[in-house]
Amino acid sequence: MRRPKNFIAGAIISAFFIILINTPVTAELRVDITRGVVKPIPVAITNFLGASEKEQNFGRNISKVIIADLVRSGLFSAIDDKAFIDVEPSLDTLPKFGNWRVLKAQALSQGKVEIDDGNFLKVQFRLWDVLAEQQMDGQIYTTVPGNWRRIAHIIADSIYKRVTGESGYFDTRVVYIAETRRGARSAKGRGRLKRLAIMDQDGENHLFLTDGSSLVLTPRFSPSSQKITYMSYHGNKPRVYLFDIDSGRQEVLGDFPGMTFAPRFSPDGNKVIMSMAKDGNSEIYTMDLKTRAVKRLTKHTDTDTSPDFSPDGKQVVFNSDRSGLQQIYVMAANGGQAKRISFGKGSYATPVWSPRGDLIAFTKVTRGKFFIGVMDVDGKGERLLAEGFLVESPTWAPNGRVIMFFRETPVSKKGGVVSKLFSIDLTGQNEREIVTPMDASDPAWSPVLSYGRP
Amino acid sequence: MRSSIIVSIILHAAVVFVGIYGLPSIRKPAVPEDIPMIVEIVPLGLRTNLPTAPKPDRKPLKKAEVKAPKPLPAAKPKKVPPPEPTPELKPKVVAAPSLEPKPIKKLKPKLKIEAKIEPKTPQNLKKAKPQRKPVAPDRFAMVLKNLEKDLKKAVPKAKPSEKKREKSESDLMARLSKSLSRKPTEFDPNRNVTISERHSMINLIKRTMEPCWLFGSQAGSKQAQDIFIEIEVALRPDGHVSRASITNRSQLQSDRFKLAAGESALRAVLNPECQPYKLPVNKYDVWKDLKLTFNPREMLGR
Repeated sequence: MRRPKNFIAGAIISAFFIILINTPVTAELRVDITRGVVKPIPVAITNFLGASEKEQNFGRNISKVIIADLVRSGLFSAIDDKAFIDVEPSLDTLPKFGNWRVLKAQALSQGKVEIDDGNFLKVQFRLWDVLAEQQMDGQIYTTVPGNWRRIAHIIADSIYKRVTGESGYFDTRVVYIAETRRGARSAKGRGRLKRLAIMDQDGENHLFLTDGSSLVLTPRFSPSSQKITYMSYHGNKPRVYLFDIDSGRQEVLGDFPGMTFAPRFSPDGNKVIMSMAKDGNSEIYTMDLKTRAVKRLTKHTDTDTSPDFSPDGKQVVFNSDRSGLQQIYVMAANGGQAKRISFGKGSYATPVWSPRGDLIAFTKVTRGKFFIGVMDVDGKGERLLAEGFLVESPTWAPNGRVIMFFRETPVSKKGGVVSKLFSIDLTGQNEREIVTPMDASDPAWSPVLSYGRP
Repeated sequence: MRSSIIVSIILHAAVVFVGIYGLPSIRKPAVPEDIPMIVEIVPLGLRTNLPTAPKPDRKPLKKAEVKAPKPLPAAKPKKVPPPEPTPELKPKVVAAPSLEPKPIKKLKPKLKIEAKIEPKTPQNLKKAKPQRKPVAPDRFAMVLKNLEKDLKKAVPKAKPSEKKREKSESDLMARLSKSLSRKPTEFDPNRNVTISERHSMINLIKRTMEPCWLFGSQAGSKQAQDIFIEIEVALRPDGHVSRASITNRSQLQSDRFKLAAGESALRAVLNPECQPYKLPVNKYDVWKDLKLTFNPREMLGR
């Protein structure tokens, strides 16, 4: 009796099998693209048009600054204007996209400059997606002619923002310590004349803020105003100062019994966090800039220094040698228990929280070399981006994408060094020197001037 | 005992088969609606692609070329541009070292952002008169052209006399009726691909696409690992992209980073440098519509 049953079951299964293999599979073709290439985006930036020769000059110069900004970011490559088929395309007609596609341009920027009766500069620009044949952005800016460079930086920021999706950082300035070499390097830097200096992020509009009669160190920009805090040895008493760029006023911050140093602003610009050293130990303090109230955040027998706020102002990162070597710690903004986050080989110093809040940049010393690196805020994912005989003092671009630092390179056996500023992309690519009139150290990036901290 | 083992093996084999090849779409008719396209279109194609047809269109195009937009009178690219003002490298000392405040050069008046140029749609903009770029041919017509080519290869060349034309038309009708009368259980060989064929197509598309996705600007972003973009692509039989659109644009629209990432992926698809896709022509029905997803997880190692 069992055999027929088995036979029927086998027949049913066989029939099912035959149906199955004869049924077409009609699923659509779906492809997962999981890799791309890290290459700059080719852009065509035409000379901004103008009716008069003066307007044309502005137009050409604005285009040059935009190109320089975008190319320096490492994320864009500019197509040589000698290859352009449409040399000066009108802003009021659709671009002939085919003429830009053959040049492999993926984006096209064009603009126009007008000087009105009131001697105001009116700059229009449009950004096009050449492949999708769509306008991506279009703006008009009006300002006094002296601001043409800022207009160019702002347009470069707009292009950067629209194409990458991240805020730009070209309309910014950098404050740093300008150094004049005097031969051998001494322990306290007294072999050098050190002056506080400020410039645009591209090195233009350079100005000295102090004359060098007192040693100055670690300048930091306020995130919300045109103020700088720094440490100066004025009167041979090392203390933290506040400098107002607009008015030129400067003042000592607090009257501490010991040496104050390593200051930084809070994200809202209302406080300064700094270290104070006394009797061979340094602790971390904050000062409210309105009330001048001082608060001590750490209390430890070992050195705590280089504090910096998280962008939300809720935490503080600092370095301490409480575990033997210098390591990075994080604590609440009002003090309390600190948690060590760096555990790699070597020592860690000068931690700086990214404006995006996702990373902490630091200086690392291991095997006799200095490194600039980044790690997640919990200490994981450490990556070393730059190295050198001495690399130090990382500072973030306001968009949290680029880090600037300084590098000392020995030039003679007597201890002579050259010190230069460099910027590097967060990916570890595109390291570039920031050209300064003389040696430079301790850079600090300003927020974006036109719209504040992103 | 033995038979139950056989039954068990068969059942297991069936389960494995289903696992590999997926469940069949039994409800769908095996022969898709494409069949009428094969022949019906040919005579239309012959008519629409008559060599004399473009003639009337050419005249206005030439006219348009004559009416090229005048270059701005002021734009004189050949003039030697004046040298760019050299940056003043000699720095000024603006502030004294003493704590006495000294005024420094004040910042210039803040910029006034007057207005945002409304992003005009191409229709709103005054169009450039010389319409050199020809109007994109109708997608349907393009298919016709290619089908026509295939057909030309199959049919021996002969000067079309009246009788022969009639004959060929009747042949076509016969073939059309034959294909229309095909049983739905018959499969179009163009739509059948083996797993390995399918994989090689997918690999080819990946290999072609990945070098074109310029991911540099997104690579260092905080949100890079969240990028997920879906793009539907329609391909022409010659392997060129005829249409591509981001299907999850609404999800990307609210976040400028994700939108920029989506646009970069779309540019990778539209980039003429990365076309055509050299896919087997006889399997066009399989790859004519693609769904691409962009997610850089492999690059980020997450």
